[in-house]
Parts: sequence; structure tokens; C-alpha cells
Amino acid sequence: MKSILCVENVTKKFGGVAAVNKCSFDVTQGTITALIGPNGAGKTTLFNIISGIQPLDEGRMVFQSEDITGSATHEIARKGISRTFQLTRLFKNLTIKQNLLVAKEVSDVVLKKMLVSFGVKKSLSTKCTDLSYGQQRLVELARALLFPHSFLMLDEPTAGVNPFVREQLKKIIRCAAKNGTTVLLIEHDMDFVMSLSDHVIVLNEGCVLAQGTPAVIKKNRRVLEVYLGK
Amino acid sequence: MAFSAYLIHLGILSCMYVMLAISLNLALGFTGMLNLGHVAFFGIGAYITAILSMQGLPLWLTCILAIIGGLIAGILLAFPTARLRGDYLALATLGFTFIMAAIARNWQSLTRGALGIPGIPRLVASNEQYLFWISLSTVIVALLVSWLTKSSIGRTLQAIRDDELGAMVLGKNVFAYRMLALGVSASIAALAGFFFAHFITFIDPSVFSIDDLILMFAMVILGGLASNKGSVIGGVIIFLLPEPLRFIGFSSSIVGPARAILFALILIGMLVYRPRGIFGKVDLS
Repeated sequence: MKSILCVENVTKKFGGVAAVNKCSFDVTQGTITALIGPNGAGKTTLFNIISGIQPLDEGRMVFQSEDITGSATHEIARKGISRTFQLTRLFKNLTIKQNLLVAKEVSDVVLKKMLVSFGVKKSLSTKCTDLSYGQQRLVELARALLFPHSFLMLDEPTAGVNPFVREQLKKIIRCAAKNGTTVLLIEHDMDFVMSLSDHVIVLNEGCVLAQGTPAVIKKNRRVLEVYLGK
Repeated sequence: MAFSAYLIHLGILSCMYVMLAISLNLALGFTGMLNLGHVAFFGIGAYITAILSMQGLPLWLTCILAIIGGLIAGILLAFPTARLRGDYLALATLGFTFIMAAIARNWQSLTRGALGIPGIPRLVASNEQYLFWISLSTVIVALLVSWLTKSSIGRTLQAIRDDELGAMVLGKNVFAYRMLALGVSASIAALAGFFFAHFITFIDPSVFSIDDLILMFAMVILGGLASNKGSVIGGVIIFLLPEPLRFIGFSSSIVGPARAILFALILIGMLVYRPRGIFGKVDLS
């Protein structure tokens, strides 16, 4: 199995505190990998480092055999890394259509088809602030998927959404993976993670505590102690 | 001055302010850059025009060089302010205005300092012809900016205004787009400076006046942020609104402060009761 992203000994310190500490892992191409761990484990910091939002202090990152360490956020994105955020970051004064077109220029027909398949029953001219939070999540995911990418990073996609949207998200992520997108996601909803992921990486205090298939992680004694509970 | 000549005079200056409002709105309303250096670009255009015209350069060449001068000034300002946002950007760009005013006052061998530059040749013989040329230029500028803001570039500028990080993760080079917006905005302001210098035929360091900057902001806020139509309407209304004060019979010592009070009241009133302005699409926040 070919690795698409290789994170090697990445360290990020805030003052004297290491939010990410010599963290290393590989993400295999075509898989759905979940990054889990308690609050403060360094998951979002790691996402921000991978997407170039925060600089790392030590280590390196290789994406599709190319060293992306120290690259600017927009350069990393153009290499094919798309992402969403823990709190949605839609362009609030723009319509759904304008938000999607910032990612990629496509026809209205394509956009409408995409929205219908995502279960967003709103017109393209709807302003993003007029959408419910769940719909905003779906539009943000649509935007991330529309952007030319091979690797998709999702930061807590199910946070604050209802069970219907949660199921929609699951279907969309599975469909994206089936179409060749490699997915790396942060999530606290363990049912969601265990039913969706091919591989799980557990972070604790900035380090990789364990990794493996969902079945293996569920039985890992250290993971049970630190995060999942008995 | 005959009434028709007075109306032509108002028409010329209205067009000039509309150009300034449209260009300020490109940086402020569409890109979200709180740029207090806009009046400096206007002054740079006016000074380049005055200095080169006095050297005998043809008008078309001074026009092009004034626009290029504004563009370069905008791009140069974009570099040191690349990491600044909001209040910090406002302070830095205001500092740029003060620096330009100080240069105009003190580089006497080039600008004649506080004495200013008199005798700038007129663009055309009559004010009617002048009105035609400035109206045509204003229409071209309005159409150009309207096209730009409706294009994918304009959409990206608005995305950057709303959420820079959101735009960056979609592969947008925020610095390049901000530099483009500031450069285009500055070059249009410099074009307005070109027309101003040739119309008034005298310039001095007061072209960098903060009063004019407030006037430009009042125009954009009244018309509405991120609305080109609003810039045109706001520019005309704000410029013409105090004109009736001239006919009431007050002395000029009262008309001047009354204008300033009127602008301040309009700004406060709009900010409190209609922060989006007449045609605005975004909040000032």
C-alpha cells in the first residue's frame, strides 16, 4: 500500500509546551484514516501544521513524494490537500454559489447536482448566513470536495450537527473515498469513526499512542485507559 | 460664475470624487482592507502630473505615468503592510499618507514645498470638453472595476475579505490578491489626481489632506461597501450635499465648518442606523 502523506518526527511547541511532540505516521493512499484523542492531544495543531497554517519546529512532511515542510498554505492546497475546519469557515457575505466557485469554476448545473446529492435543498443564490449550521457544514464539505484535491482533511465534521446530517456526511465521505480521495479526519464521535475508518491513529499529549484498524484500537488497553474508557 | 459654468464645475469634481470612491471601495469594501493611504495615492498622481507637465511632457504620457506611479505606490505599500489587518493596517497606511505629505512639504527642489506648484497646463481649453473627458474616464473606470469585481478575481477578493484562511486553503495567494487590489485601487486614485492637477492648475501638500480622506470614506459608507453603484451614488450625494449651503447666505467662515459638521452627522447617522449604506452588501464589522 502506497503512502500519500508521511509525517516524520513533527514537533510544535507553544512556549515551553509541546502541543505536538516527535509525531510520526503515514497515511495510506485511498484510505479513510481517523485521528482521535482527548482534547489537547494536538490533533488540530497537527492539521494546521500539515496544511501550512502553523509552522513546525522540527520534523518534516512529505506529500506524494514531495517535501512540503515550510510551504505556504496556498501552495500546499494547490498540491491537492483540501480541508475543512472545526468551526465552519464559509465566506459569510457570499452566496452558496459564490462560495463554491471560489474553489473551482464549474457550471450551475454541476453545482445544483452537487447540492442535491448532498441533501442541501436551498437555491444557489442563498446567502451562507441564511443556512442552518448543518447545511453550512455540508456546503463547506462540498466546497472542499470541489477544490481539486487528492487528500481531504476534515476537522470534526459531525460537531454540532443532527443525526440526519451526520449520516449524510458519512455517505459523502465514503463516496469521496470510493472515488479516490484519501481522507484524514479528526472526530470525537466514536461510532462515526469506527464505522467509517480503515485506519485509526490515537494521539495523546502530542505523541502517537497507538494506531491500527478500528477493531484493534477498540481493544488497545492504553487507548482504553487514556481515551475510550472501559 | 454663470450657473451653467458652476454646474459644469460641480460635474467635473463629482466625477473625480466618484473615481476616488469607486477605487477606495475596491480596497475597502471588496477586499476588506482598511486603507487610510488612499488620499496619498491621489496626491502622488497629482504631483507626478504637475511635475512632469511642468517639464513639458505630453499630457497622454503624464496620464500614463501618473497611473503607473499610483500602481507602483500601491504595490510598494502592500509589501510592508502584508501582515497587517484592521486597525494596524489603518494606522500603517495613515502613516504612509503622513510620509507622502511630509515629502511634498520638504523636498523643495522637486515639489516647491508649501509654495506648491502653480501654472500646471490645462488638459483642454474649455470646461465643457474637460467634463466630457473626465466623464468618459469615470465611466471607463466604473465599467472596469465592475467587470473586475464580478469576475473570479473579484469573487476571490470578497472571499479574502470574509475569511483569509478559508481562501488560503482553497489555494488562493492572499498576498498577491491584496497587492493587486491595492495596486488597481491606487492607480485609479492617481488618475483622479491627474485630472485634479490639470483642472485646478495648482497643487500643494494639502492634496494629502485627511479631510479629503474622510470625505472619500463618507462616500463609500453612504453608498455601501462592496457596491460600485453605491460608490457612484454616494460620491455624487456627498459631494453635492453641502452645495446648497452656499446659497443660504452664510459667510464662508460658517460654510466650511458647516460642511464638516454635515459630513460627520451623515457618517454617524449611517453607521448607527444603516451600517450597510444605501446599496451595501456587507457590514463594516
